[in-house]
Amino acid sequence: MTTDETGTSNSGSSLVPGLAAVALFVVMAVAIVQSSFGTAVTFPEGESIVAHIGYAMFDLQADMGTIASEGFLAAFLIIAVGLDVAVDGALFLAKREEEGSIVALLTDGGRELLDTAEASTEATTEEASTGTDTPDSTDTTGGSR
Amino acid sequence: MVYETIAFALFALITLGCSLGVVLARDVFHASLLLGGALLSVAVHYVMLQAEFIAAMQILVYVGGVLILITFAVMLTRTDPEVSSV
Amino acid sequence: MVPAQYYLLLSAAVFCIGLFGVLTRDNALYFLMSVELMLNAANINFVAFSLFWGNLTGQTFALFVIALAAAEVAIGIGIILVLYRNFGSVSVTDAATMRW
Repeated sequence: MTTDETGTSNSGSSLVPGLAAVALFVVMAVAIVQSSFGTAVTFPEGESIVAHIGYAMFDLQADMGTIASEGFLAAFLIIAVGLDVAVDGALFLAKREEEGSIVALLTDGGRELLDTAEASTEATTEEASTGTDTPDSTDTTGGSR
Repeated sequence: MVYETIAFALFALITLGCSLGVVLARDVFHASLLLGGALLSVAVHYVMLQAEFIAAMQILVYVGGVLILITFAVMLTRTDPEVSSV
Repeated sequence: MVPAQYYLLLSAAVFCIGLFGVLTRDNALYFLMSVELMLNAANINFVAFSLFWGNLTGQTFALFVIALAAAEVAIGIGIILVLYRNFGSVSVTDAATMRW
């Protein structure tokens, strides 16, 4: 199999982290096996778990029935704000600086943007140095597209 | 009891196998598909733990959203040739 | 019922696999997937102890972790696309502008 010989592209540097992960698992496994958790207390029969999750999320202490839980209203609102921030941040990262079109980024993975950015900087420096051959510099930009 | 243990062992094997495949696969697309398998088997564990709502959210958010996003990124980016060509 | 230790062992194994992926790969997409694995390991612990102690706090917190993972992936995909646009690859070792 070809995957075998290229199993680790840099096997010398990935051996130590691999051993570290395995050692961490051994330590955790020893700790888990040696601990005891007593008898399990399961959920009572005939109670709606989904309804109680809703009561816990909106901190409806009066409706909280037989299943123990805590109020999570503040955490719920913070997570909501966090999701909004994440969506805005992702849109901000995906936006093109020039002309602001997201679709253009999605079509070629941003390669064309890199090329045109380089070509336009070259063109502007050339234009600034010579000052007369404007059609030539626009031709370079069009050709690289 | 014994059937429950057998079901747990089966799906734990699937979870661990798919997770190992995620970190060991050479192709990024194969890794993302194996991540989908791991997430689905974790959802089965949730069902066995009487957390059906969490299992539904796991499939909806993880497999339906996160995995699609990752597959999107895999297709939009080109990985370096010394990793993908061999 | 399956003993709690089995779920803890499964969760520890998945976490260590995710840690292995973070430590050994240098592709940012593998980073993202390994972090997903580690968050799932934490979720398995939350849900398992929620059932074993008859307390719904664990399940509610697992929902929050899922929402947080979705937000993290949305930002992570944006960062990876910008990384690819600016450096031409998704390797985390190429982005060395703020490193010496």
